[in-house]
Formats: sequence, structure tokens, C-alpha cells
Amino acid sequence: MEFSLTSDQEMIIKTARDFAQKKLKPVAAHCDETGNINKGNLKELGRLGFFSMVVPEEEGGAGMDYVTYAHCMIEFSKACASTAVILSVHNSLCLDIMRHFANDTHKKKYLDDMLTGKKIAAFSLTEPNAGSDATEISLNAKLDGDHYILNGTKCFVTNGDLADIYFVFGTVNKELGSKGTVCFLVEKGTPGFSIGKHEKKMGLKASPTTELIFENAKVPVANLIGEEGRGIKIALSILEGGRIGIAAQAIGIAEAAYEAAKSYSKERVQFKKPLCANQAIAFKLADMLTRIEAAKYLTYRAAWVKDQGKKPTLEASMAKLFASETAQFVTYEAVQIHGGYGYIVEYPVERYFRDARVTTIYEGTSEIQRIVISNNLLKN
Amino acid sequence: MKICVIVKRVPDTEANIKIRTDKPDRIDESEISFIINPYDEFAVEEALKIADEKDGETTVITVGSKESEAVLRHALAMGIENAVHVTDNEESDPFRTAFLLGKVINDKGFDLILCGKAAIDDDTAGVGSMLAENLGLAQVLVVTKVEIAGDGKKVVCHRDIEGGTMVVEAPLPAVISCQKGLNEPRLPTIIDIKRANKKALETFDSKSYLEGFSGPRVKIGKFTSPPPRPVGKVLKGDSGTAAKELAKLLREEAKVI
Repeated sequence: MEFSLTSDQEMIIKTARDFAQKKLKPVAAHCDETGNINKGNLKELGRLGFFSMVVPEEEGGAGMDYVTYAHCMIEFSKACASTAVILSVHNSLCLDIMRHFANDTHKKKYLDDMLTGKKIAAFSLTEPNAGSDATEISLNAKLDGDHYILNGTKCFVTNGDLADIYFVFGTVNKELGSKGTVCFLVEKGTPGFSIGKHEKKMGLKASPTTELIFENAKVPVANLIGEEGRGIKIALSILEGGRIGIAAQAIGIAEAAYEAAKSYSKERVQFKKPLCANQAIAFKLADMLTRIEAAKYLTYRAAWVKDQGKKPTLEASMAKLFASETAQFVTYEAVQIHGGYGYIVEYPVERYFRDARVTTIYEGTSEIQRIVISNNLLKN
Repeated sequence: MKICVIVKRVPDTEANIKIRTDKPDRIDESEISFIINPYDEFAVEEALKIADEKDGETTVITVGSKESEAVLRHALAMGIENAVHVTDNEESDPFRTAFLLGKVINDKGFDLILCGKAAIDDDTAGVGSMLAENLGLAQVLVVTKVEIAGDGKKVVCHRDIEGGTMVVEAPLPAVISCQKGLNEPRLPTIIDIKRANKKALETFDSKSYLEGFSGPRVKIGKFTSPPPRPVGKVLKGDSGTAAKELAKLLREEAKVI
């Protein structure tokens, strides 16, 4: 694994950092409070190329490697974790499906607008009764002439009403299990397709999470991605990229919390000395930084393996597991170091604590990651 | 219209500056990151805007170590077309820099030369003026607005002054130094960054331009860190007593009233 960065990588990461610190950070608290993402910032991120990060240049993307992608996601997450998850879903889940499973007609029709961020994409697998066990999905798709008729409800959809394009997973026959699953590209405005409830969440409040409701929704046969029976395979094959994105998000949140705690511990004076002059506090900071660094290198390693054209199943799961658990530890201690002030919304560690929580849950819970890791290590 | 921008590599504004223990006339560069001088970034942005309007050609020039290449790449990524690197490892002396720039720029036929109002590291604000003198050109310094007028024959600049604005006209070619507020520099796109890093630079060794140079006019003696800020004083007692005490301290100790 290469530890040093090329000048391309350094400059791209610096652009991400500059944008995050100058544009995302100043509005992050307001976005969190109002539950609205800053659309002007999303537009600018599109112009800069951050809605097409890992798509090769010859396919119209920014042509970034996954190591740079991970670095940039850390920078964005450090400033605004809500913006970061919008980017992560669009880039590492939806664009991966487009690249590897969509046909030329799909690409011609939708890809350009996705790459510029003009059209944001959403990924919709989860249902009320199908979470970690995605084989239980029951959104029904019935072939009727040149359309599929979709009926059912999807839930917890990141980019909910913000998106224009939805990658929706369903089944043509639930009894066939995973062999009956299908993936569709559904456009906003499709008759019978509507946005359901907006979820009120603990964190990532500026990133819209909604239900999707399908009531005899007519989706053209041409919008089937891959073939009938390949739905779950498509969903599972892109998870590594997504996990690298969420690992990076967790690291960014943790790093923001660590830096806030470090500077607070130097300024806050109790018993006539700064907090950090107490070893109990200094050691917390030492543990926080050490775990953040360890999480980074697991994540860069997973990204590097993916860049080598290999499948980083084990690496991405270990990175996601460790980084998301690190974010819990670090944000918890950051609040603790802030004392009463850490519990007050005015201090950003309160937001980091809430934003970090979901990282051990979505894109595979910590328990699912442990299943992936242990299955991998026991398979031989 | 041919536009030239002068840029410099400086320590990041957030860098924690430490003085070298072995050489007190140098700062310790081992743990700090470097950026393009923020005022020079305004100059780059302005050059791009003017070039866009007037169909101009843009060139960026820096004098400095090998590492200074990064700031040229940054300007290229923002959209500047050509880059010239005069490699020079001497310690920063505005007279030397302006001498070298004058030699390099002399025969290139630029209509407009833009630079930052000062570099944020040594803050001498000398190179722009000295360069204009070396080239025998007009100079307008610390400007917040630039307009090309008179069919490209002159430039009209705004300067912020106490309580108002000064409008200055100068014939072109001229040297303009840029102040904060002039514009908002663009961020380079990912694709532009990659393109910029593939571009060829024109590189010259400073030695080939030093003929006739009479030696530096200034030499850095040493750097010292500012003294640590003294601990604040909290006045006790009721507000009447505290106010009296405060007035006394302001007069006798701080000597501000």
C-alpha cells in the first residue's frame, strides 16, 4: 500500500477541504437545526466534480481513485455529515450500479445529469420488514406488457425527496427468494410513485430520509437494471464501495469531535489549570487520536485494495466496523470533555454525537460487518 | 491582451510558525504546509476574469524553490494558461525577486501585471512596486476593483481609503496589486486539477538572470516569537468599585486614557 499522495491527490483533497471548511462548515449547524440541506452547496459540489468522483474520466466522471475518495469524504464529513451521506449514496452506491449494471440506453439517458449532480440519485433496498435481511424484500413487481407494475413501500431512503432518480429493489415473486429479486431505475414523477413520510431522525437531520410509496406505479420494462433475479446480487456487489464511504464519514465526524475536544480542553480552565493539564483528559485525547488514525489506515487500505481492481470485502467491512465504532467512542468522549456544554446544542460536539450514531447501523450494522468478517476468516 | 500574475508560496494561514533553533533567521518548515499567498489568489482570479472578458492570454510566474511549483499548479488548475518557474533558493529578498522578475518579464510584452498586495509571510509588500520601477511601468497598489478601459489602453482601479474610495487611472501596461474584496477566487474542479498537473512548465534557473544584480538590499537578522499574551485581570467588588479600579488601571497601567 502506498502511503504518500500524488500531487493530483493532494490538490483534490485540498479543494475538498477548502470547500468543506469555507462553505459547508459555516452552515452545518443551521442545516441541522432546520432540517434543510443547502442546495447551493450541492450545486457547487456538482460543478467541482464531487458528484462523479469515482467514475473514470473516459466515462465522463472526475476519475478519482478510491483512496482520494476516502480522503475527500473525510473532509466533507468533518464539516457536515449530512452533505457527506448525500454524496456517499450518490457516488458509491448509485453510480456504481450505473457503471456496472446499467445498459447503454440507461447511461445515455441518465448518466450525464447524474455526473454533474443535476440529478441526484437514491438507493432503496430497505423495507419495514427487510433490513439486514435483504432477501425478505416484498415490493412487488408484476410484468404487464411493456411495463412493470410496482406495489409496496420502501423505507429509510437516504436522499428521499431530494433525488430525481431512484434505484429500487423489489421482487417478481417473493417465493423465489433472492432469485426473484429485481432492480429498477425509477424516475421521480412516475405515475403511482410518491414520496411518503419524512422521517424525523436523531442525527444527519439535513439529509432527507423518507418512505417511498408505490401504488400501481408503472415503470417501463426498459428501466429494469440487469435481469430479473439479479436484484440482490446487484445490491450486494456494490456494498464495499458504500462501506468505504461510510467508514470515511465516521472518521470525519470523529475527527471534528476530537479537534473540538482538544481545543476546548486547552481553553477551559478548572481548578486553576486547563482541562488538558489533567492526565485523565489528556489520555482521553491520546486514545481518541490513536483510534482515528487506526480507522483511517484500515479505510485507506480498503480503498487501495479496491483501486487495485480487487474486491475489498473483508477490508471494507473491517474499516466500516472499526471506523463507525471509533466515531461512537470519540464523540462520546468529546461530549464528556465538554462537560455540561457538550450537552448544549450551541456546541458542535452535540451534533457530532448524534450524527455519529447511525454509522454503526446503516450500510450494514456492526453485527452484519462481524458476520462478514468472521465468515471470511473462517471460510478456509 | 496578455496578462501576467506573480505568485508566491507561503506557509498556510493556519500553520503554527516555529523559528529554527539552529538558524534564527529561518522558520522551521518541517511541520507546516504551504499554500499560494491568499492575496495572489485574488490576482489569479482577476486575471482569469479579465482574460475571459477581453479574450486574453494568462501567464503565472513565481520565483522560489522547487517546492514552489505547487502554487503554479494551483494557478493553472484555476485556469491560467502558462506557467513560468524561476528556481531560486536564496532567502526571500524583495529586491532580488523583483530584479529576477523584471529580467524574465522584460521582453514578454504583457499588458497587465497583477500580484497580491503583500505576501502573508514576510509582509514586505515590496515586489510589486519594485517590479514596476524596474520595468518603468505605472503601479496602482492595494486595489479592490479593476476595469480595463480606453480600448485596452488604460486601467481604472478602485482603492479603499479612510471613509471612501479613491479612483485611479493608469496607462497600460501597469502593475496592479490586489486587495481582499476584489473578488472571490474560484475553486479548481477535479478535472482541471488533473489537467494542470500534466501541463509543462517553463523553468529557468535564477543564475541565468542574475547578471548585473548588485546584491540584496536587506538581510533578515533574526526572527523572534511574540511574547505570550499576559493573563487577564479580573476586578473584584461591586460595579462602582470595579469601575473606579478599571479607570485607574486604564490610565496608570495601560496608559490608554
